[in-house]
Amino acid sequence: MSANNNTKAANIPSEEILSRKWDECLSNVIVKSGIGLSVGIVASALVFKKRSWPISVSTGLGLGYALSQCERNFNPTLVPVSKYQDKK
Amino acid sequence: MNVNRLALAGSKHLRPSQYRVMAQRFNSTDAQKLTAAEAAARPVVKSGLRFRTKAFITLTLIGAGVAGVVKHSFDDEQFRALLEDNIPHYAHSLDKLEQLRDNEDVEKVIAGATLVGGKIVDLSKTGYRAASDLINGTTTPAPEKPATSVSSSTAQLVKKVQELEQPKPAVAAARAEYIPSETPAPAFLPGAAPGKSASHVEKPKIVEKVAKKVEEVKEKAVEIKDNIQEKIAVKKEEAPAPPKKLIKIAPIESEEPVMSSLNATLAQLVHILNENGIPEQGHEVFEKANEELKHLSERVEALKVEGEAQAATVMAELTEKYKRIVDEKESDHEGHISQLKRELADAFEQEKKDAIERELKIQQEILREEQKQELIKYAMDMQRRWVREVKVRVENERGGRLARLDQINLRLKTLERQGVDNADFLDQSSRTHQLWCGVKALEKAYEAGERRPFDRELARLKRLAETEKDAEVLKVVLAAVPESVAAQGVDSVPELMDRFEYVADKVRQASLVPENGGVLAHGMSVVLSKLMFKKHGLVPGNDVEAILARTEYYLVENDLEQAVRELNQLKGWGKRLAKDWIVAARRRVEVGQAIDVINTHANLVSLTLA
Repeated sequence: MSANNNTKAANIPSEEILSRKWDECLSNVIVKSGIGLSVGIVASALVFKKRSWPISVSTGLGLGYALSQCERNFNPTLVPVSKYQDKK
Repeated sequence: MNVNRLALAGSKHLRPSQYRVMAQRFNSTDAQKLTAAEAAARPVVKSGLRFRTKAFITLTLIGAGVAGVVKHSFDDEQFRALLEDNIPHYAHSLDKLEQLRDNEDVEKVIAGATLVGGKIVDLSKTGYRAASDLINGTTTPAPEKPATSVSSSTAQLVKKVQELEQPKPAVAAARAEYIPSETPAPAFLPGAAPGKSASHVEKPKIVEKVAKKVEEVKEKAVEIKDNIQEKIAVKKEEAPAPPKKLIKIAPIESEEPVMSSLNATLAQLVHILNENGIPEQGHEVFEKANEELKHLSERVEALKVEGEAQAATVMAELTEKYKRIVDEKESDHEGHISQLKRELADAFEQEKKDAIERELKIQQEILREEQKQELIKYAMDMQRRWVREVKVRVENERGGRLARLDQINLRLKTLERQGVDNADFLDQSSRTHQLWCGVKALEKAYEAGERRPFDRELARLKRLAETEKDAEVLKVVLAAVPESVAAQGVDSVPELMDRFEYVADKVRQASLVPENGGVLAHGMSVVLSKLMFKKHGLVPGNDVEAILARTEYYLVENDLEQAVRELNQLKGWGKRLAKDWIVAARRRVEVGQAIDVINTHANLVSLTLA
């Protein structure tokens, strides 16, 4: 894992950092919302009597998770729920 | 047809089966089902709530929103600052609210209100109980009032006060017992206490006594004075009563000062006594004394004369004796002195002779030395003249052959030197040529249109630098180029320009990202940057576009160093993105500078050669 990280850092030319972040973000979104969608479909089919809302809820959850991962990727200094009191 | 469409449109939330039914119904051609009358006969159901309810709900929501915003702005300073900046009069209202909150009257009101509320709740509870009792016919006991009620607390306070008050009389009795013990003074010092008090009282008494005594003494002194005065007066009165008899004495004249003073004192005494008056006995005594004094003075005179005569005779004898002794001694001394004179004269003569002899000897020595020196000098002179003559003769004989030999030697030496110099020059020149070749090779690799490694050329130059003298600068510069750079080579300018275009694009995309921005910030930056104008040329300014434009300009002009300096001024994400390009460009610039230095060194060497 650490070797992977190191090589990742060494291989990218610096102008492509952001492009790589966008790539990761996009892949996150697709993967996680896809997983959410599938889980939702399965849940709706098995548990929720073929209603439509579990699908959308689950897809939304997946998208949200992907979004938060993206946010952390772009801004690693972000810590959840804490506020910066830098004026003081 | 319109009806059909409306119906179909309204059927969005129908199940498929229902939809099919609706479609069948409404797609049928007979429009009898829905005539205007029938449509009108159906009651108009207004969908949704009344306007009043809607308004009420809206206002409640707005009120809740405002309350939430206000509450949050009290908690979060940044939020408050943001609102204060953007909403007019917000700061003023918030200050008023704060004052209201901190106001004590409001707190009291709120406390009173809660109290009243509590009482009402109690009242309602009792009322409910009474009502339920009436209905059910049972009696439920009133619940115990909680200990925290005000009345119970006051009762407790009263009890406590009573308790506190009880032991007070006991304490007072104890105090009363103590008080009389202060009055009896310590009995073991009987004198001290009265003494102390007495001392306090005596002090003024003593002073009075002293004063009295002083007065008594004064009075006594005055009495005594009066007495004395009286006595004196009495005496004075008594004095002139008896007849006076004056004493007469004859003054004694003598040469002795003692006698004259004695006489004077006697006279004084007589005078005093005469004044004061004494009985007649004194007369006789005094006259006697006077006579005796006279006798004494005569006697003294006689003694004086005798003494003088005696002294004269003794003196005459002594002078004779001493004269005789003095004459003898004189004659002795004269003989002694004459002898000494003769001896001294002899000694002096002897010394003179000795001194003269010595001087003569010394002078002789000096003269001999001088003679010797002159002889030696003359001898050397002679020798030199002889040697010179020999040389001249020999040379003349050899007939210039020696001179010729010398000349040949000299020429040979110059030839040798020239040969060596030539060899040096050739060596140096060949090395310089090699250096030049090496530099040219390096330059070719540097100026190639693409990245090319130049480690072999660099190694060759290093070898050359080692053999050369005065090549410290060269060695340092060659050492400054790292191995990795030499192995990989250095980007060419067109390559850098290409890469720069790509980098500039990326930098522009990231230029609008705020500090610590997340996904959305980056996304907005990407989108909005596409709406920005691109600048070209040497534009002033410190924003991203200006920096990129200036860098491009310098790149086109082939001024890599300036381009790197410009691009280094980027901040934040732009800097991070452009870092690699800056590194590559810097490498190229450094290698270029190294090549420049080597070039100048080679120039210098070739100049100094010639």
